[in-house]
Parts: sequence; structure tokens; C-alpha cells
Amino acid sequence: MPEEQSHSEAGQVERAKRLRDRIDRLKQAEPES
Amino acid sequence: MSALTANVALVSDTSIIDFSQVSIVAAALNKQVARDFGPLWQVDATVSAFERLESVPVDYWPVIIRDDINEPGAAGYHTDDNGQPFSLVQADDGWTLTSSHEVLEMLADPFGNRTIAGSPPPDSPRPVSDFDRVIYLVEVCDPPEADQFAYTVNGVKVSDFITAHYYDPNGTMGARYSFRGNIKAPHTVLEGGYVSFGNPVDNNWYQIIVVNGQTKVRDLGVIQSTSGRSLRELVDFAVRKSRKKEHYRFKPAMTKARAAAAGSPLAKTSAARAKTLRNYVVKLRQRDVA
Repeated sequence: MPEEQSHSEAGQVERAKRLRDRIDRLKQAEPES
Repeated sequence: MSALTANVALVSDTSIIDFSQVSIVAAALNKQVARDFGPLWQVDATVSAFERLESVPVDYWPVIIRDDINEPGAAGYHTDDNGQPFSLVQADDGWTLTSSHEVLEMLADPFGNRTIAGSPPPDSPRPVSDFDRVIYLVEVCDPPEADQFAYTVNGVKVSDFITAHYYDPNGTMGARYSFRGNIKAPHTVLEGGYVSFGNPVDNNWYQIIVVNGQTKVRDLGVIQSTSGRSLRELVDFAVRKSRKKEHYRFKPAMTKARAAAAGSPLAKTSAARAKTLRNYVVKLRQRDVA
């Protein structure tokens, strides 16, 4: 099923990108003093 | 036991910890879940290693090891933009123990909102001792989280955890409150551990911590609204805020050599077995054995 596999990989890459963006935001989210 | 299997992905996003170490630790965590944790918590789950975050199937819950998430406090449990759980683990000396902690807590309460009511922890200082009833956040590795209560699976250091009996209203002869048996009564905390709970009267949250044999209260303040974030994330954020000056959870990233040692503790015995198996394969090819 090459089409399904390709679609799945695209989803994985996009999810990884969103997770990395989220991690960057978390790293900047300093608790208020 | 749930009809759905939970799948956890262990993945390194740092060059300090390579895929071979992640594979060894994921195998140990998978065994811990299948043998120790799953039967006690009625959880059906797998833990698998992946080489890159981009290789993780979209329905796996990632536990991501990084070397840059120490401060101001990105390490720990989070939910993504779709409300799905993921955890961040700092690549420090205790990364296998922390990975185990995050995996087990994710499996016991994937969405970070599970609470169970009960009497406050015994021997708590005031004001907690005055409360009739509190709501505990289900975090299964916190009460016995200290290094001294850890154990090994395949030689990999993993976290101890509480059982469901931890939330029983009363102690019972012969009941098991933690996997290794060090916790002797419901709602109690071991040295170096903690438990988080709220007072339902005003929704003020607290932690009981045990340091050098002393039971102390940490006041986390009132949680007004979860605003789409899980209770676990909000409690963790409140802890970081209250401990900001202590550089809470700060540990430097480890060296590559030390990471290799932590992630492959049984390298000698595994190498010896591999040698034996290869020799056997050679003999089989020569039809030298039955």
C-alpha cells in the first residue's frame, strides 16, 4: 500500500514538526515570579 | 484491561543518546510494563524505540529525550495541540529512571486529569491535617520516586510505582501499596518522594514532600481553571513556579560516554551471548549440529 504509507509518513513528519514547535514554546514559557 | 492497546514511543532527539541505547532501554521498559506494571494496573501497552521523531507512528505517545529542556522547565508531562500526551526527558545521568517514570505515569493516566478522593496523607502538617477529604492526582511514581527505591530490568534502572491500593481508605493486612513493597500504608510518601492533591473546598492544591525524614507541605495555590490544559500540567507548572529559585529538576546533560554506560548495562553478557549465537549459526551452516 504505497499511497497509504506515503500519507502516513507525511502525517508523522508534520506531527514531529508540531511537537518541536510546542517544545520550543515550552522552553520559553518561564513561570512567573 | 482496556480493549485498546496503548503504544508508547521512546525516541532520542539528542546526539548524546544514540538509537542503540534507546532500543535497549525501550526493551527494558516494555518488559517492565508487560511483567510488573500492566497486571497491577490492568493496562495493556507496548513501549518501542524509534530512531527519529519523524518515524513515530501518529497514534503512538512519544517520550522524547532531549539535552536542552532543563530550564525554565519543559521537562515532564505535556499534552499536544490535539490533547494527546507526550513527555520530555532530560538526557542526564538519570534518563532511564526518568523515562520509566514518565512512561508509567502516562499509562496510568494518559490525559493527566484523573483524581481519586481520600483522607489527607497521614502525619501531614497543618493546614493539610485539618482537611476532611482531598482529591489526589493519580501520579503513580511520585511517592516512591527517589533513586534508592528504583530497581533494574535487564540491568536498566527503572522507577518503582504505587498500586491502586495506595488510594484505599484504610490500610489492610497484606495489601501491596507499591510494587517493591516499601510503602506500608495508603497515601504515605517515602523519603525523597511526594504526592499532589487539592482541597475540594477551595481548590487550593498542595504537595506533601518528605525530605531528610521530615514531612513538609508545599502550597501550590488555587487552580482557577484548567483552560484546556491537563490538571497534571497545571500542578507541575505551579510547582516550577514555587521552586523557581531552586532551579527545580535542573541537572546538566550527561556526556556521551556516560550515556552509553547507562543505556547498555549488560553489554558484556549480551556480547558474549551474541558471540555464542554466531558460532552456533556457523555450525548450523556447516550442518555440524542436529
